[in-house]
Amino acid sequence: MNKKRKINLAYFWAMIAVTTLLVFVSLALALLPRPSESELENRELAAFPKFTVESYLDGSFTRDLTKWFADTVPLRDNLVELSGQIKELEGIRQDNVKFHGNVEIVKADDSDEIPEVIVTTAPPKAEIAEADTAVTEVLVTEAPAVTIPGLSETVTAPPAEDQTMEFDNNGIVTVGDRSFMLFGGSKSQGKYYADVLNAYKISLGENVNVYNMVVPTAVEFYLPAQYSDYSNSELTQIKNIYENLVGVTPIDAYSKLASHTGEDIYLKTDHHWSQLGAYYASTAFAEVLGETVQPITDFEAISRDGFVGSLYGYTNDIKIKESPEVFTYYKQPLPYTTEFFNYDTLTSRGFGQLIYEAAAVDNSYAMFIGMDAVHTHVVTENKNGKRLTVFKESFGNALIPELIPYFEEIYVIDIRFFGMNAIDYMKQKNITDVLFINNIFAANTQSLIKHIDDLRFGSVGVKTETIATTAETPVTTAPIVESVTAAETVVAETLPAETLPPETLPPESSPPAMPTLLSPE
Amino acid sequence: MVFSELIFIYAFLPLFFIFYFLSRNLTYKNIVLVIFSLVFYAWGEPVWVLLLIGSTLCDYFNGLFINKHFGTKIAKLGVAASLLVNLGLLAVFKYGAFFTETFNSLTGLALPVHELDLPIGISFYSFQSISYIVDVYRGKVKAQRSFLKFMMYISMFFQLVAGPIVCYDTIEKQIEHRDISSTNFSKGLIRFCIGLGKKVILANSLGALADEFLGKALPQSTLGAWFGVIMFALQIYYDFSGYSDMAIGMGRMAGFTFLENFNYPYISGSAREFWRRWHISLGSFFREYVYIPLGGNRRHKYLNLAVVWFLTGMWHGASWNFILWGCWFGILIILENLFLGNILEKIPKFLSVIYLLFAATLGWALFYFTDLSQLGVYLSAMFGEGSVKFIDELTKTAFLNNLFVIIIGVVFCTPIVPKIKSFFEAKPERVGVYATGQAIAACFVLILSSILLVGATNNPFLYFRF
Repeated sequence: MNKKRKINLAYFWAMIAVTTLLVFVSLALALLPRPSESELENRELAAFPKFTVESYLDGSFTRDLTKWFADTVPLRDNLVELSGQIKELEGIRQDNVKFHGNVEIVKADDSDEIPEVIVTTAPPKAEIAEADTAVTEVLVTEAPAVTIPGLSETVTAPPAEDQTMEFDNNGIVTVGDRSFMLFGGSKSQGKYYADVLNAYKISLGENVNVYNMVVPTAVEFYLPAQYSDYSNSELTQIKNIYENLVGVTPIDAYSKLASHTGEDIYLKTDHHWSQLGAYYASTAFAEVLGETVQPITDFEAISRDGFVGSLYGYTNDIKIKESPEVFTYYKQPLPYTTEFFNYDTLTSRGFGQLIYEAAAVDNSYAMFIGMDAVHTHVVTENKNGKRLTVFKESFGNALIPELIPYFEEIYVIDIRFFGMNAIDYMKQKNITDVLFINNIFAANTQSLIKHIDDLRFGSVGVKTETIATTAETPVTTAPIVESVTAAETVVAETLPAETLPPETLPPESSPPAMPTLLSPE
Repeated sequence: MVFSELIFIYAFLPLFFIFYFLSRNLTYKNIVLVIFSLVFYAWGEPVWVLLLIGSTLCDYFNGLFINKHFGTKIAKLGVAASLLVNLGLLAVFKYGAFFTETFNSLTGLALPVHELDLPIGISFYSFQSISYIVDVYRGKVKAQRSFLKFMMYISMFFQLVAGPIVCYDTIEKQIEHRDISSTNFSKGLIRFCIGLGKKVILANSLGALADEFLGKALPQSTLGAWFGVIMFALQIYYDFSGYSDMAIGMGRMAGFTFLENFNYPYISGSAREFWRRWHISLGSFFREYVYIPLGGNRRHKYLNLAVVWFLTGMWHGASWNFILWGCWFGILIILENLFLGNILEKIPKFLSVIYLLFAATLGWALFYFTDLSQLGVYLSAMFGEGSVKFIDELTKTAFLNNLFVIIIGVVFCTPIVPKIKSFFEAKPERVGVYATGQAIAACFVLILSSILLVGATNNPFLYFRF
């Protein structure tokens, strides 16, 4: 009996201990203020759902309530970081390597079937100038003749893949203090991309020069050799695109980057390149343009410490958080003005800074050209009569300041946000040169290529709607918006919290969001 | 709602126990339990909660009907009606599309296939109803006259959605008299925390790893294929047994004693033993309500075994791979009955355990792939056929990146905890130490799990599919 009483007493105290903990945490969760956004992940947290009969009946109310409760836990960001530290204890890293997400062996897909060519109803008919295939030696070693008989305003149909399936992302790998996405590209997508660009050339006519720069990403240069099975060769895919171009001049950024891999041409904790990398790419463009390259020493280099980029949020890998890097940006010394416009109405938002230096440290890459969701117009003091349109995703942002010496005006169009007829717009602005600059992941993403194609007809004029309906989606650029509005000189009106088009968002239910390179910075 | 959700642990559960223990008498307690259970169920099934109430009403009246006509042939009508309703609902909701597709492919017809969403937990609660009705018919238990109590038995949120399948006779007495004490509450709470940890700390990590390897179009290497399916074997064990621990723990906190559902299945030396240790409540159900009525060991034993294992496989899901999985165990068990069992008993224990682990692991591959052609690709990679490598860098890296979780996962598959427990309980002066240790472990696991839950976003229970 004595034993029994002893046991009961011991369990009584055990009960008090565990119950106290449970009650304490319950009260904390019930009473402490809840955050509404996460700095760590750069997104708005789930909102408290609105109760309606429909939302109850379809189950979304209780689902969203559950999500809200977990997503907005007090001290969330600290706990998520702590969770990352705990996760690190789950194992060890050999050679400092850790894989994140669904990584697989990618086979070079030479067998890719090129889908049938479907004639689209592109209005203008134009003679194509003899295809300019002056790709630099490194890129085209075995360049086949790119004269495609009968190629006119035709665009390869998107390969018959599931629309929701993204080829590009094959997981993320952390090697020491550098992380990057593994690449699983496809030749058919590359052909599609090239065909769309060719169609632009046809629509714009002989007098407009069309250039294409496809940018390799860090995985191409920094993946240890023993893991080469897990990432496709970006060079092969870039070559494939360049070989399929007709009348569009390729810009060999690859070789320039490849010869500077010892420098910080890519960010180590972010999926973007650095401005230095963009500078080297710009020299390839300048050479093709026949211009004297502006030396990097002309720029004012400014460094900021403690930058931790997007890949930490995507992987929650504490090693990334624990190795912040130096973010260096370069200010263009030549005089110029920058004006921002709304994409939907093309009304001016006022003049601003091309490089917004007050951007928060962890948002450093967002300092270039304001943000993706505004249309940027740069006027330089150069009077060479050349007016450039740049079609880009976020990789292009860091390139714009380096293009200033070579053009009189630069119109920057983000391919995800512009919704008007791009051909008409460029004709109206008397554009003389067009540059497509996309990273190889983007140039292999079907939904995005389709978007570029659609822009020829202006059939994507739905941006305002897209933005409005996706306002509650988690990926927003809200913090960037704040910083832009903070600059006195800039934007007159407050920018709405803009979001990416839905196709670039990961599916709602997918666990830790594995991004494409099109994610917001 | 699932148990490993913060809102469940830190809002629903505390509120439930506050109301439950504030209720002075048993009727109030029962009302609280039923209301909370219905809210719990409606959280995930806002519409089908009506189906739950409807089918419960049906079985309630059938039970009374059988009781009234006990011992007469009319009583059979009640059983038939109940089986019709419960199996009918399962046939429509769970197997409707599967039956139509199979029928279409056999006959070449093209009947429209309606994919219905499976109401959560229907496989579990309809089996509980059946066990009740059959036991009333057999005179093993008395029909429950109070609808409230019967509703409580069926809908108790502890075991409503993912088991264990609690047969009525095992808790008949507890419906009237519950043993509520601080010791029970304490042990139940500790059990709940440990179950939560199994789910959140182990199953979620191992599951992510398993999906990484099993979810690919092509296995990366032979060792990678084995690694993936072994991770899945660990995941499904911790997932499901963790859920059962939580259910049993909460039941104990509220004064119920549920039977154990898992007993270290991976130390079994035969498939027969495995099924006495794995999902015990399901095995007992099929033995009690299918195998024995068919004639058990006495009449056409092997046919009976075949039927039971076919049905066991089918219960796990409306897909051929589950049936294959059931049949795989059926074949092994028949072989063990014929001659294999004798051999297994004679060879050293570790060899028979290796046999079982090999058999179970292969089984999990069948279990994982609903697409049979994918299964074929995977199995051939496991056995080194085709062009796959023997080992790849990803497998090595993934193994090392998760080394400690894997070690912990393997260690706790063995009955190390009961060994520690019996050591401490051997002497009275050690008992306090053990209880203190348990409390510390529970707090630690609860905190760790909660942090990981904040860090994660998505961790649905595997067994929700069934």
